[in-house]
Amino acid sequence: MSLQKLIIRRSLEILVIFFVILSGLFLLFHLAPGDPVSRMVDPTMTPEDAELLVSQLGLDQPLWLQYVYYVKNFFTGNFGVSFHYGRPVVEVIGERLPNTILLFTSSVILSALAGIFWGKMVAWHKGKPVDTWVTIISLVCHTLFLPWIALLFIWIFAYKIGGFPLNGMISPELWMDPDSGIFLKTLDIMHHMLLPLLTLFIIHVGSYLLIMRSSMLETLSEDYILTARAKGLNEKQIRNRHAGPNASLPVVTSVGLSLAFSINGGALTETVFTWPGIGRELIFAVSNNDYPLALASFLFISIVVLIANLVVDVLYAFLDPRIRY
Amino acid sequence: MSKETRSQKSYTWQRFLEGWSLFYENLVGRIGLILLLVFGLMAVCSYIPPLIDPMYHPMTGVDPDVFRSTPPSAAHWLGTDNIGRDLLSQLLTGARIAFLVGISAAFMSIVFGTLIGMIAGYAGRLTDSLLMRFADMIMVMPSLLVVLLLSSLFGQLNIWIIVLLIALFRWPGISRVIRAQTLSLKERPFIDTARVAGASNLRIIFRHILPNVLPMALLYMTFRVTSAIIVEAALAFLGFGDPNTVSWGMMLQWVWKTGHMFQAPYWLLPPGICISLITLAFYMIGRAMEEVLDPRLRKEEQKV
Amino acid sequence: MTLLQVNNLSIAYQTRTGTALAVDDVSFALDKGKSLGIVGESGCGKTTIGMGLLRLLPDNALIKQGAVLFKGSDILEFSTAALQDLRWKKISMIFQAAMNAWNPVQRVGDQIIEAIRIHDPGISRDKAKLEVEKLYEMVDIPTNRIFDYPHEYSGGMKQRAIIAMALSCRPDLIIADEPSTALDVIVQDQIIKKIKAIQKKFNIAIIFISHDIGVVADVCHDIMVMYKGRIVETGKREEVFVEPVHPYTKSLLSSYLTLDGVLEFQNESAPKSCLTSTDQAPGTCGFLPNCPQAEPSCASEAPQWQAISETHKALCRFCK
Repeated sequence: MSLQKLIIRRSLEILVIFFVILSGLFLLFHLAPGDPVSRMVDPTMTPEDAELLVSQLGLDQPLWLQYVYYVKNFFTGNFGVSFHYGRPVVEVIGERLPNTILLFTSSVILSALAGIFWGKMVAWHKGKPVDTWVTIISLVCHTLFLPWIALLFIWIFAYKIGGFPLNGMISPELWMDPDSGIFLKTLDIMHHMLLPLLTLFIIHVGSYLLIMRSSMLETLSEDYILTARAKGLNEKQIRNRHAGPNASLPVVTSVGLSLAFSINGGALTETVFTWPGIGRELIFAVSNNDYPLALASFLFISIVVLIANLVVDVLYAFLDPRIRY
Repeated sequence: MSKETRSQKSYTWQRFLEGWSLFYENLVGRIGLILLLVFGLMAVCSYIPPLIDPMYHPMTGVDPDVFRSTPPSAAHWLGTDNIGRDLLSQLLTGARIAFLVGISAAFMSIVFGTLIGMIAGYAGRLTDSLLMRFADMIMVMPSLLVVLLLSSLFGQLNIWIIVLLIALFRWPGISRVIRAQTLSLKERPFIDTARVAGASNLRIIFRHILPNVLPMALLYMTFRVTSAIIVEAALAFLGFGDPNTVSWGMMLQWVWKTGHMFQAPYWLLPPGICISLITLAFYMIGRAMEEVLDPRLRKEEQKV
Repeated sequence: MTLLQVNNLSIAYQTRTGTALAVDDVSFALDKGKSLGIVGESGCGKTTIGMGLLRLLPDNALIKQGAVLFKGSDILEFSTAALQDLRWKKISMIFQAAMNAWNPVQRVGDQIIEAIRIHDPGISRDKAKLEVEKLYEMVDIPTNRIFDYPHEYSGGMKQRAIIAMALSCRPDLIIADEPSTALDVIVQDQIIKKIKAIQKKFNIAIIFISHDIGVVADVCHDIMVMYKGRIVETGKREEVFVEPVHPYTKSLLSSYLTLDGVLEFQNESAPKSCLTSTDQAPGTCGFLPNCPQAEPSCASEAPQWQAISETHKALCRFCK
């Protein structure tokens, strides 16, 4: 199978999955006790506004037509109005989504790369004390309770030591100042991102490291490693040219499988650090019964996970020619 | 016949002992087991404080002399929260809840996962691909966020609903493994023999396949305990726990929401450490079991 | 001229239960351009010898004694760098499992070019590619397949490509460890023919390791029969193949011929699969439990080398 074919096939599969999720949510909204209309329309609205919104969302139509409206509204970006913000949901999502993608992708990529790199090193020192210690530390990191470690970081780095912002993504006074250029602003975001990123990194890197370690050990007993050794390659060349690329394939698979786990962690991290992302928005909306916002946030989080899945699949096919052809 | 079963039993017993000695040789497994024993002891001890004095009840017991969060003292070994409840008795009760949630959710998810995996692997064809597609779909769903959404739609969740929901979102990983095992078992001669002998599909699945996939299912159960405890703690932390019980996640929520996280490290640290360590304990046990069950991971007993 | 001289080589493996001797006091010599066959059942230590010559043994293997003199210098004394220099450049290998001998995520051609350039960094990639083209023509693989991935090759092609790679640095010696075992009979035949032709053409010495005495007799000038880590009979091809004297060789040959339908299987005690075990009493004959000619004295006295001719020897007290 060529790479294009693979992408097309996986995209179609993902589209189907997305439709199932979309429809599942519709069903849940109508199965749940209570009135679906009151869930989508802010009780504080004026009756005229409410009526307009109801007809826009098709909530006055028979059920099957409501579904058609629902799907159509999704693709035209009409998710209703957020109760809390009093603004169209699509605007809120549009602002929050990039922040989530920034934090999510950088944490996944960084932790996977670090896991691969360190796992390779540790496997090479199998049986030595460093191996045992790194293994145990990785296990501990992997099972740390994320919100707690986030709170702990805020307490230690931002409160006790200082030098780190307690919350948010930007320093308002810097952004208000017309003199601060794009460079300063980027630096400011990175400064705010450091602790959330570190939290997610620590939670993820351990498991990737352990997978890389054991996959590396398995790879080292493969026949082609013997070939490489017989060819006269030194140990470093064997590790980096032959064992490493093959051993990192299971890590890529595991990144794909743990994407959902990562987005859970991302939402928790955003909440504790008040990072203005879509995951925090979902948790906030759910806590405040802001259903239109909750629904749309969930759908967009699903889209992020699905697309990330596609990217991981394509990456895997790119790294492993056996899948590609 | 009875002799045969007895020898089979002693064989099973011997294999168990062998596995146990391998497990016990493993440092990671030993640490995990010791940690787990400590938590087990905590769970058992959680019944004691309320008996000593009703003010030590984790939910309703309030020390009448305490009006704000206090650091550890003789009366409250770990201190109190902001309304004067004893943190130690909350922590002990938390252990009980963690075991309850972790083990029951994990058990349910391996029941679902094993059943679906065996059916998919044994039936093959359309059933297989439909079930596995379904599993794929659940696997890409962020379970914590789904449960959150459900709880907002269906109202406050009690602990058993939370357990059930966690189980419902945590079976696909297990079912994939069990399916793969079933597929390879299906090719073995003894399954054919059973089929020729006239055993029904149900009988083959439960009498011949189930016993063979059970060790793997148990292994995955330890990993599922870990994820169930984490999901429950995260839910409680976000304020969606069962309001009738104390859990470690809830303790963290209280310290966070009441703004005590900078002032009361004696309140912030213990629940987080407990959640992290109990998940670590189960995870370590799982890894050690994995090494016992999967000979490929064992230290090389090199072929000559 | 002697290319390789192995003196009293013993190799043991450490296991959970203790150490097991896999190669026991083995000595042999190989002249330039000649070929030597090592025959024995699986587990008899023949692969261990092959790996030991290039020091490619797993970590739990221990070379207990002996010397491996290649052009007069002892490989066992080589530094890591010298060893890496020797590998492939002077001694290359053809592996048992060609399926797995290729790195699955690299193109075959790149892996051969890597072998060439690692020993001669001065050669440009393009020049190395030309070299690979020549090698491919030699082993009958279309040159447009050079930059395919291993999984796109058939089993026979992979094995021929391995042969091409083994030749890529023009070594003095090739160790071929069961090069044809995993292949079907017709491809097996092609591979054997190829190896024979190449050996003649380049005058390369070959150590040919196989469990199949027929194949070995087809390829090699000299044959060495191994049993439980020891050489039990050695001699020229005609001597060992036509007039075997050791009971083990006889039983090997009889089972070989039976498969060809020429001879009926004579002795019931076909050799069982063997593993060199630690509880074997030192010195006594390992084949004793399966030997049709055994006498009570065999259990107490060590077997002796008997010279049948100048080149033909056997490790048995009752061979003439």
